[in-house]
Amino acid sequence: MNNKAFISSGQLFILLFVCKISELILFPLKLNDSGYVGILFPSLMILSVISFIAVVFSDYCKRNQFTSDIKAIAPVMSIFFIYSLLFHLYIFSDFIVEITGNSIPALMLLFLLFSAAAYGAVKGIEAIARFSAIVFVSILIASALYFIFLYPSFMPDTVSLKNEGSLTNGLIISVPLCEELAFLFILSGNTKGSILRSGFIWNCMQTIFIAALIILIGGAIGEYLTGIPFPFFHASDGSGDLQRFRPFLVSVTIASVFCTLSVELYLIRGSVPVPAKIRIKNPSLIIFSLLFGIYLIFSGIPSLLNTIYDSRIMAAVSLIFVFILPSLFVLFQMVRRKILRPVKLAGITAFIISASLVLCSCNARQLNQRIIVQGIGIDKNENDYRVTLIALDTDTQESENSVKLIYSDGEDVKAALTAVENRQGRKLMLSQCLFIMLNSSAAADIESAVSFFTGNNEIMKTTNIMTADNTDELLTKAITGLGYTSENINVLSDSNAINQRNVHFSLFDYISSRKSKKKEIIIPHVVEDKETSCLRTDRNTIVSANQL
Amino acid sequence: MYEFIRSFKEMYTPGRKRIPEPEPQIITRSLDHNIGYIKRMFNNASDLTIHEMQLEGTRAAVISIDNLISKDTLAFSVIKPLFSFRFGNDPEKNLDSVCNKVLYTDDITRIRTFDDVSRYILSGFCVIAVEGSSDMLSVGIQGFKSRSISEPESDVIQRGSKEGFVEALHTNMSMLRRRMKTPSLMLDIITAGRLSGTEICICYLADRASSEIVRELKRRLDAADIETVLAAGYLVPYIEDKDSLSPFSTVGITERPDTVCGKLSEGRIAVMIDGVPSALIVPYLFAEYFQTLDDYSNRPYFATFTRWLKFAAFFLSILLPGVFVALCTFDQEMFPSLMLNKIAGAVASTPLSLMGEMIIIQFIYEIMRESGLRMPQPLGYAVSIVGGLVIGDTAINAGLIGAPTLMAAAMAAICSYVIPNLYAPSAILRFGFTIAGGFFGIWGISILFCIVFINICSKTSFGIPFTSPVTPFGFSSLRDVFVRAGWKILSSSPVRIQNMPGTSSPGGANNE
Repeated sequence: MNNKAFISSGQLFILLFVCKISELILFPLKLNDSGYVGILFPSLMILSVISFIAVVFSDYCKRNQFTSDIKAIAPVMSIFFIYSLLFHLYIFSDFIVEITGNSIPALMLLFLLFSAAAYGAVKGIEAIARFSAIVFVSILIASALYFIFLYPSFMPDTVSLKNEGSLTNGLIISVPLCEELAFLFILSGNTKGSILRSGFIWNCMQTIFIAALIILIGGAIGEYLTGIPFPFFHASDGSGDLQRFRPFLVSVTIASVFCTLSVELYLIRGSVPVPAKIRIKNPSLIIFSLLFGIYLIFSGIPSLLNTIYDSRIMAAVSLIFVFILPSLFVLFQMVRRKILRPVKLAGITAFIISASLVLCSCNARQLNQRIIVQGIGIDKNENDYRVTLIALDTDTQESENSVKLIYSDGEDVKAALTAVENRQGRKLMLSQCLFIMLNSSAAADIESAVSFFTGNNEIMKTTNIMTADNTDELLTKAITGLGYTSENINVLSDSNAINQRNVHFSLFDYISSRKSKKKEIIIPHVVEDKETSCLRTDRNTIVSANQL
Repeated sequence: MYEFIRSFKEMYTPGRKRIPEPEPQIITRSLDHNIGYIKRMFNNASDLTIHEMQLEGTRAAVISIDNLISKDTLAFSVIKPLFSFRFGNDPEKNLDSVCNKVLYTDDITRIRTFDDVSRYILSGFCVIAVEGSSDMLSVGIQGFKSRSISEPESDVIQRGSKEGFVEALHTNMSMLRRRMKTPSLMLDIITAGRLSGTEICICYLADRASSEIVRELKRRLDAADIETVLAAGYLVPYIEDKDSLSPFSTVGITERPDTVCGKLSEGRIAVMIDGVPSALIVPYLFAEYFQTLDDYSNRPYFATFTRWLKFAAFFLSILLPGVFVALCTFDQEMFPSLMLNKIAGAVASTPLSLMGEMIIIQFIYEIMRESGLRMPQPLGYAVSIVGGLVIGDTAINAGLIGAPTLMAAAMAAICSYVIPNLYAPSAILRFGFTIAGGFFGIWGISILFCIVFINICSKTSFGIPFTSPVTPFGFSSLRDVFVRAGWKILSSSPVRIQNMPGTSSPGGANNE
């Protein structure tokens, strides 16, 4: 069995360097949004490149051959890992903001993740390598789920990386992070107690893994240069099925980021001889933390984070970075030198965490503070929109499925929905919405009627769209008169065509047709048959008194 | 200056002052002096019995502790033969003769110091002192009452032996001997505890256990600076590798001799403690928490199924309440419509936040469990009934707690009993995950999960990674982790603990 590392540390460095450049291409920095990120990261990259070239060529000039060993590039490596750390924190904060919206304080999460990674770094490279193996398997499972549930159905439609596809973003971010896991596998070949010590099988696996990585990077660069879409990066999300897997995907992403940050912190801390001997000790981490905290205090510096968060949160997080994080490092040092007992450390840590929670808190939306919407009716009049919501009535406890109607008017759909929220004092929950029913005028101007929902991350893209002559009247009867339920109306729309006119049409179909600009929009038309007191679409599907 | 402060602090800190080790006192030739010394040593204890005798002109004494010996054995195997012996003039020869020709027992040791005298007397021996001799004889006549062998209460299995360990160490040793009829079974006895002087038996198979691990274990036990050893848990921190803050232990514990034998055959080492009806097992890996003796009695497919059930139960027990709170608070869209309707109805009708509800339920449950555990059994049943009625019925009817929340908490509690040895970590982690989920949703749970798992991954048990053979990966060892292979496969190349992937020097990660 071969216990040797698969590639040399110099080759590894070059591979990682290419990965980083690819990441920059994949995630174009928002120069307009963040001066910090926009200036710091490219400069670090340039510095790394220049240093690397300078070291290699100075060596060449001395000896007339390229013999740079790992010690020669050690300074470059240290810069590289600091850069990587900052870059991943930045990407991850961006990712959190996109996925969670404002419901969870992203900076607080970052702080927790950073602290967890610091803990991981303390535990050592072998622990990180072992954990990375578990994460690696989880990523494989996540990828399998991705391909099984998402890829086959929605492949033809492309959605760009950074706007609507929050889930896709998560996956796409996970992919480049795999390079660090590959790196861990390679690294663990040089450490005792590694999975790679069992030899050939794992060498094969990492070969496949690195090959896949190179293909992805190549695809990304090719896409950037030629403009030809690389398929893997262009699947769109919105599948209701996939949304069910979001916790798993989030967990996998967090775990891979955790591994990445841990190993970067560990390498910066510098006690591993492979791939480079970097002797940056813990005080450097404290200084780094202090500098980051000071940066956050000066909220005048243009930053993406500053535009999103309240100054109080920024101040609280600044406190964390200036005082609490350095204190944690100092405490760990004290425990290591046996100045402080672990039990006291546990007490202090518990206090710090609880204080942090109190400082930053969170604005979670409790279930009883939300309006669970089951169906939306949109009536367009001359100048304004009237929105009718069928919502779950959680106030009356007579029946678990009792529903109520909520009306609101506004200049557009968004304004009308905001008015509902303001009047009820609760946030709308659109993820359970089964259908959007438009009246004829709204259907004629579907672009403005539905635009709010296409940009909404919460509503499922499988939500059905229908038309009716008078939506408001129909939904009122659905509640009070004929006994139609939201589920029944949804089933009515969901039934596929028997003749050519009654077709299934969802929000996703609308997004696809808008992008391709070729598909004809055919929306099922719901009418009330007054003779038989039932609902039907184009003479073939009928709902009457809860019966289909 | 610092040294001065430290010595000053030690001087005035009650309970932490080290007792200075006395010089070993040598037995003298004067019987009166020796008896007087022993009386002073035991502070004239009421149960110290000194039987002085005149044996054909030679003075002698038999010293013992009343309730630790068998009086019949003392009378018929020691005192009666002594009276029938004809003592000569040379006391040393007399003692030799008593040792070799007179006494009807083979458990005889010649001792020279008073430390040994006290140790043997307190272990249920009697000590024979003869005037003019600077040695004494200790004779094993232990006869204290002990509990008879019965079925263990916590390590219950469906098929297999019903014998469990008892408090008497030598009975436990005999139970192992009966099951492992091989001369390579080593039962080394050492003592631990400055005050208790507890006998500890280190059991291993000489041809299977790693000599390095045995040596390291003995070194750690020798270095254990502890006053008393009254339960197995006293020694665990001294045996474990470094990492006192981890919720998971790298030392296994069992009440079953057959489990110990199984572990010994894999190259592990058992530590049995006198007065404790259970044995510690080292090295102990995370995967072993999910293995029971029944797995090896059942058919492989069913054993594999139950093993997966245990994995699922463990993760449910720590994650279910937290994930439930997280999903209900941040990711409501995860639930199917009908389920969401029910949950929303329940949440709307209760006054507390979901996280608060969950923490309170778990807290009440832990109180009920603790009270039921310590009470006499009939009262324990009453507590369970009252608790079940109060929480299960009244609290829901009163609208204080939602039924889905109670369901999640109850499910997690039941799951935590599937692996009793993991109850303590799962109870603590359950609270942690609930708080993380309530504050930060799935994100917080994921971060905490990372911390817990990196902790598990960082642990070693005598140089063997705690997570082995999953990571570091060892394919051949996996046949008894995620699946339980058939006995033909398991027997064809038995698993040895020291051959686990990632094994390093056992002293490398020891406690400092």
